[in-house]
Amino acid sequence: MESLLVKDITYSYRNKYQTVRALGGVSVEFEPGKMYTIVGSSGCGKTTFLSLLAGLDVPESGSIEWKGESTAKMDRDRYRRESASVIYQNFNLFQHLTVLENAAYPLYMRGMKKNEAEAKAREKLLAVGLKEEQFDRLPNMLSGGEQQRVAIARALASGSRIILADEPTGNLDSENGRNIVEILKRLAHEENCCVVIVTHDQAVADEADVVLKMRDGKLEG
Amino acid sequence: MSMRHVTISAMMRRKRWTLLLLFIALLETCAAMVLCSLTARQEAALEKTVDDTVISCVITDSQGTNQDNLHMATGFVDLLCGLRHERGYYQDEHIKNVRSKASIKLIAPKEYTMVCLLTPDSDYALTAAGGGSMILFDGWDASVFAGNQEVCVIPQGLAVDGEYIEIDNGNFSVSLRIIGTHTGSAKTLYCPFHTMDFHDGQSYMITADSCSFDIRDTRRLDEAKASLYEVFADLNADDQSGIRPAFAVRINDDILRNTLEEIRGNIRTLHLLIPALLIIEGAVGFFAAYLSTQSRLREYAVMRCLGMTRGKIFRLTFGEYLALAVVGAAVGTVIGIVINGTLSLRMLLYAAGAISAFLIGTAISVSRITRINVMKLMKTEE
Repeated sequence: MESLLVKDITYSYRNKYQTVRALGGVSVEFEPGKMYTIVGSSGCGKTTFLSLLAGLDVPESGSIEWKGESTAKMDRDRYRRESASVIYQNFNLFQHLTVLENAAYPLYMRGMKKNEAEAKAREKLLAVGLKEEQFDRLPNMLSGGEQQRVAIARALASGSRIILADEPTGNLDSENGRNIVEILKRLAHEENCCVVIVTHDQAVADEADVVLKMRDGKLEG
Repeated sequence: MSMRHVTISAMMRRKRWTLLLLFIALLETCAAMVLCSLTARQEAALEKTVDDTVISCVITDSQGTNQDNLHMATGFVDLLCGLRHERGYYQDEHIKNVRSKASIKLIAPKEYTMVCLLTPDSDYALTAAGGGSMILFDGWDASVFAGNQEVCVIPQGLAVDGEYIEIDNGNFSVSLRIIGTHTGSAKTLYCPFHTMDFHDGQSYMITADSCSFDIRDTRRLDEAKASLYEVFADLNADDQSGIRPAFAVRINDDILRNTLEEIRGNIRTLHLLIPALLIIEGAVGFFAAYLSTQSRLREYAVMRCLGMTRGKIFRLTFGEYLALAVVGAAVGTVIGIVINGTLSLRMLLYAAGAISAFLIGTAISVSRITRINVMKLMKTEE
């Protein structure tokens, strides 16, 4: 089944002096076609959880499974290239590439021809509401909302079915924030993506199909 | 291909770092080429010094004195001239320009001295007056002194009837053909060295007053010395015991040895600078790449988030430095040629060595970024 299944995962940060338990036994299933939000206080483990969902690391125990295969066993670079995309609060665009090149980057990485990659990226940029004349600009010439749209277009261009967003509206005003949430919601409902958003913003949480509360590394309710 | 294109586009937009790294590669290439050129110049100076230096040698008595009053049997001069091969003396293979002089008091012309020379410049008194002071008649030249003809050069003011002059020293008398005049000592007749030795079937023993010569090939100085010390004493030998030859040879190679030692010292220093330069260039490459990649850590983290493998990130980033190094090295080579005014394979090898050191430094630095902890970095950055 095409869902992201989390089974009793734990995770700790270790250094020379101490071990900090970030996640302690989280289980949940994320289904495609739904938008999820994870809310909770700072330091409760939301971002860590999202990073594990993105396959940036593997849980200490338990498993995260996509299409029935554990992220611990799969090629996680490929998983991120083809299945899971992360959108960050501070956009994380390549500052020395144009809007179009940023959106097409995942396709360049796959070895797609430049023209083909840029045609597809152009389509995604238009889909998130950016205008043609903005495509050749560098990211710092765009507003925060526009930069976040580029980040979403990049995620879309990669063809990922899992969209993971860490405070995507954190650096945006309320109107731009609403627009971004609308786009993500549309991705879930119209494109059948599995959208997981980590947020502090109650307005964002209110838009979600499912709201998960996290406290001290565990999901509540 | 598209990845390469987009990487080049990004490099062009990152002007500051791109130019800085290009400049470093250029500078390192130039520095290596200049070092190479300096070394080559010192080596050429060494060769030139060896080639151009004439090492003169003087025969003295066994104590190193009396070089103008030797009373040395002319047999020694003969062996230096290569006339004693049949007796196993081959010293002439290592020496050239043998100069020797013998003086014989004459009773006729009265109060005159006959000076036998191997070459006109065997007589320092004559050469000190200037080479042009001896004027030979048409059809004669200085090579006549190396032969055994019964000829002589008389003082300019000496009045003689005819083309010959009669000489007598009490033991022999002979008629010598006059072949020129000289403006040197007024009471001196100059004639070839061997004239009196082989006159008319008679052998009259004369002794050489002085004898000097030059080393034929400075590169084979040690061989020449060894050969000469088979016949003559070594004035610098520590061991003065045993039977010493009656005559010694003073080989004036002090200046050459000191000059060579100085140049060789310079070359040694320059050779030591090569590894030092390579280490410095490697370190500069490392730190330049370190600072450059450090400013782009978030970029690498995003690449990892997008699913780029560590190996691909290394190849992509190192590829950037490689491209900059190649362009910088090419420009640096051109500038190096202009500065040094020459190009050699060795200079190109030095330049290649410098750029390799630079690239090794950058590769070490770039390998660090493949180990970044993306999760920690993203968390920290937020």
